[in-house]
Amino acid sequence: MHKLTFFPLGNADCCRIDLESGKQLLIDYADKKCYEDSSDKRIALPAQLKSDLNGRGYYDVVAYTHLDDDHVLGSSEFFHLEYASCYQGADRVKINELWVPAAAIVEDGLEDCARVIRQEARHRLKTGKGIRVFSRPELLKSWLESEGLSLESRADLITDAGKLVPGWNKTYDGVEFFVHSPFAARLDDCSLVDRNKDSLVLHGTFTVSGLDTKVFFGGDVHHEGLEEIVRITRCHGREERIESDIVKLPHHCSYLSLGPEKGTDCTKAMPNIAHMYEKKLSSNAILISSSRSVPVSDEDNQPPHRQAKRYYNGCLSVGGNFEITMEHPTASKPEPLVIEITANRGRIKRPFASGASVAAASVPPRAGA
Amino acid sequence: MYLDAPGGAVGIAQLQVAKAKAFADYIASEKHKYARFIEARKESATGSETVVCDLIVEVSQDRANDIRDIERVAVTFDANDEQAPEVVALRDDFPTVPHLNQRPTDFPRSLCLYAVPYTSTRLRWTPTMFVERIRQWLEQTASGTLHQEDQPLEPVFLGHFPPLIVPSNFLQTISDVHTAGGQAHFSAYATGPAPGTITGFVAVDPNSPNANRTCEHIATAIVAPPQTHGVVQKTPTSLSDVVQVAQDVGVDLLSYLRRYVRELKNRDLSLLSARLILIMVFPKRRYEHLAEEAWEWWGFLIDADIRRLGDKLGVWQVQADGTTPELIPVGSETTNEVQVGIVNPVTQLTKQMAATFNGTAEDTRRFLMVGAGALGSMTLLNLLRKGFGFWDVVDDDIMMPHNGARHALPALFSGGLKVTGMQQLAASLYEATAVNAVLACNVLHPGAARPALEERFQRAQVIVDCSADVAVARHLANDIDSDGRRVSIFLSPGADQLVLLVEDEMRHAKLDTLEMQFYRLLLDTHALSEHYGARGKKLRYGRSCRDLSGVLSSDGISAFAGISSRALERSLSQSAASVSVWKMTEDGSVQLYSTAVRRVHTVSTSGFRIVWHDGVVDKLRWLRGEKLPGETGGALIGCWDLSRSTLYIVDVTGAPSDSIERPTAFIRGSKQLPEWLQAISRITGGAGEYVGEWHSHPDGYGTSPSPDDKKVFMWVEEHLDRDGLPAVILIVGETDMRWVTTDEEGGVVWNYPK
Repeated sequence: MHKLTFFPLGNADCCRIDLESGKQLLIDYADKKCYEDSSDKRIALPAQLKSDLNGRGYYDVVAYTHLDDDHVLGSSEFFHLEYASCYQGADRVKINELWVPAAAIVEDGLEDCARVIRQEARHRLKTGKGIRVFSRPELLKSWLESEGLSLESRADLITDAGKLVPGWNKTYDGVEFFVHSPFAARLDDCSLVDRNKDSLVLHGTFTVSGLDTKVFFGGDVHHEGLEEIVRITRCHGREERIESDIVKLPHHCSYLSLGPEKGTDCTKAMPNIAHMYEKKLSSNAILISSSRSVPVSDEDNQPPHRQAKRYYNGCLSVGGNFEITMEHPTASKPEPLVIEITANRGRIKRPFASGASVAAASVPPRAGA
Repeated sequence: MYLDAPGGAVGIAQLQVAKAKAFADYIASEKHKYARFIEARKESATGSETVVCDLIVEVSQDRANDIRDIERVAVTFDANDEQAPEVVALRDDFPTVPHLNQRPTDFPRSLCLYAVPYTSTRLRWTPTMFVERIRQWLEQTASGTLHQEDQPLEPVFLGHFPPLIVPSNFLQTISDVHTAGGQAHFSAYATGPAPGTITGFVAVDPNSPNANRTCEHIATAIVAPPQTHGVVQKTPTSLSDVVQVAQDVGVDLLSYLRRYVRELKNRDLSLLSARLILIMVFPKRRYEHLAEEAWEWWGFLIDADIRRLGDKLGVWQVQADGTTPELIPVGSETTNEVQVGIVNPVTQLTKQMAATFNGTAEDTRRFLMVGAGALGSMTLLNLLRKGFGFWDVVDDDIMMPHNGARHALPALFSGGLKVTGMQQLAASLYEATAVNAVLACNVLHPGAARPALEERFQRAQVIVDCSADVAVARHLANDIDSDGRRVSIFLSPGADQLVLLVEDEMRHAKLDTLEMQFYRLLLDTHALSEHYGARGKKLRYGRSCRDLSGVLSSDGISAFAGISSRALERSLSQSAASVSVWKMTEDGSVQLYSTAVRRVHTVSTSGFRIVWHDGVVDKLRWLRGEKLPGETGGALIGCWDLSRSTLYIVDVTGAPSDSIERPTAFIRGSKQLPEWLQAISRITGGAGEYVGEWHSHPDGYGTSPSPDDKKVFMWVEEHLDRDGLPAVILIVGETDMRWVTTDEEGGVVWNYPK
């Protein structure tokens, strides 16, 4: 059994993958909780992750789909980073392998956490250890040369779109990851890298007892990017890489990940995107919007958008699920959304602990005169 | 779409049934994060109240049954809380799944949540627990795990119905008759606390003692083509429903019954007043493509005698005088006017099933039990109930009223032989008794029964002595012709200790030598030193001087019988010999003491044989070694069986403190020795007594008796001759021991094994 955990973080991302083999991967880390505000229902991500780690001290992989705040915030306080001693300490969580898109190496002008992650990624790429960069290799050539390194010496740390992530396979790890983005067509002529567009997009095939469950990790990909991804994938005859049982919807259920127009009641998806959602979702599919509750009005232009939600819901079969991280299990008390993956594909966990068992497992307040 | 829940909508505040109110309040409070309140309803006619809610459950994307992650259910609470709250699924396409309750209509589906009666679940009923139970039912039904793969297939009809007890070969008989193209039928009688209050039915096995019993029912069976589970969800209430069920599975029941009632009438007119139990047999298979793996079968009790049934089938018309002129052609049927009840056929217990229900495999070895007293009878009863062994029982005792206080047989058997009573009891435990034969004789003096007894001994694979008589145990060990392994079970005189002696499979350590090792265990174990000390009280039950019986508690006997039957089964599954003692304290706690059975050695002199074991050898060599280079010695403790000219050495003492122990001389002192011997005698119940002297020789001196040794021997001889017992002295050397007896002045040498 594998396990996916999505945390209630508002419009922000963090997904942990616990593999049957014991390996743990984290896709994005963004702690946007306002700790001063007691009404903030977002989870205290560092405490939750530390508690789940239970002394483990590291993740096998931490992947950043891109370096926007809602995917990296708080990383510099949580992780043990190798490039600078000020980001090191016994209570920090180590990263065995860091996964980043090309932008995280080549882009300048980053600030705060994004800059820290870029520095860490550059350090690792320079030392040639604990890093995987998702990019067309040639794009990194000039940067590597500016650091006095050859592309050949780092080629095995770079994975291009259309490939499986090396080192992971269904036989040993029970999972393989297919890379959809960043892809060359988009980056080839880019003088300025648009980070959202070049978000890391992965398709994971998890297997248990020989039976597969397909998960699409959409990152923050925009409709132009996603339309291209689906088009290219179909061109290559790899329909299975756009089939999904579970989808982490891109960009917090934004209409912009479906098409250019929001629509009055329902967003119209671009043709290839429509093919993916309307033809390639399995029965009883699970769609996850890592977002706040979907507002009923259009006052706020930020995602999630009700028109996009309506579109997604229309793609689901009778037994399918549209899950919003801030509404699971209830909007009043959101909790991590856990999906177990067995030979029967995904199952959203809905455990109920009796009051007595919770009390027994907790520390009561101090008593006495 | 959702179906309507019963009753009319009301507010939660208007609910009056306490559980309904509590349940509605709980759901509405949203304390349970996976339950959502929809509405409350009330049925004015019955007072029952219903709470409708959505339950959110864990389901995999791939499911065995179409259960959705949100299911709407209606929970209906009985006005008086006498019935379990009924939970129905309101979705109008809720699937047919295992574990649904019978209802008069297919929809809504009623969830069968508990296998135990409501009176049990009511004690711990809480809204939370109930919501969780429903969620669990839905989740396990979704994954197909509510009905485990290794569980027997779903009964075609669910619910609780009176049993129809049938012989174990019933299905086979039906199947055989069916295959041969005939119709199977049995007579049956109803059971119940009073006429008209029927709790069940018993089909009469033509071979059973009940074969001649008058029966008011007749049972016939028909075999349907194979079914997978979950065929019928509606309880038939009239004969026309049953006809429909039969038709659904491809059986023309109407024609069958018409033919059958005609046959009954032609066979015997008196059968017209009998009532019919119709048994339908559904061979079951798990999946369409698999072979049938079980037989599901149900009985329908037809609420009309054959006379009226024929009328309703249109076969004949009952006249005012009771005659039944046949209708040609047959008239129209009105089977909807004939009520039916369901009866649940259950096969009678067999020895093999008894073993299964005891969690063990049937044992088919041949056993012979000697002695059917309180402990023996109770132990035997336990073993029979476990399907353990086929038994012959030997005892010449007559059951007396006072035996009934502790015996497996009730006092009502008084006056008869215990073995006959046990035979009858065994025959009533299950079909085909496991007690083959009983012999009413004394094994020591069988008289005319000797040939039969000898034959039984020879056939026995295990002989269990429950006689509580050392003479019998020694007789069984040495005097009878049988390869059977011997076991002896007895209680201490105070009935607070149970002893089990089991020979090894090859019979190297026989019962008599195990008895000696048992004495050694008593001597070595402080907690057992009162084994023979606590003599129980005796009560007089008759006028003759031997009409005395010990006071033993029935619960103590039962507890020990439980231990002995279990220990017997366990010991016989191993090849080694064992000596075990269980001691029970006043508070009922039991402690096991056991000793590793040591190898037994024997030497024969011209007059008798001497038997001892490695425990004695070890002690002698240790005592000798401790005093080297000096000599040492002490008293030999043993037990004479003069009838078999056998001396069993149980133990030896060390040298009393006033002994003189020199390199070439030993003079045994006597300080405390009488007290030691007294204690040994007390602990062993008089079995261990002074039987001679032993002393050691230093290294390099061999064990040939010296002139001094001969004087010691003559001294012993002189003293024991007064008791009529032979003298023995034992010389313990570096490499051997030498037994010196009257007939073997030079002694018989036994070398230590390398």
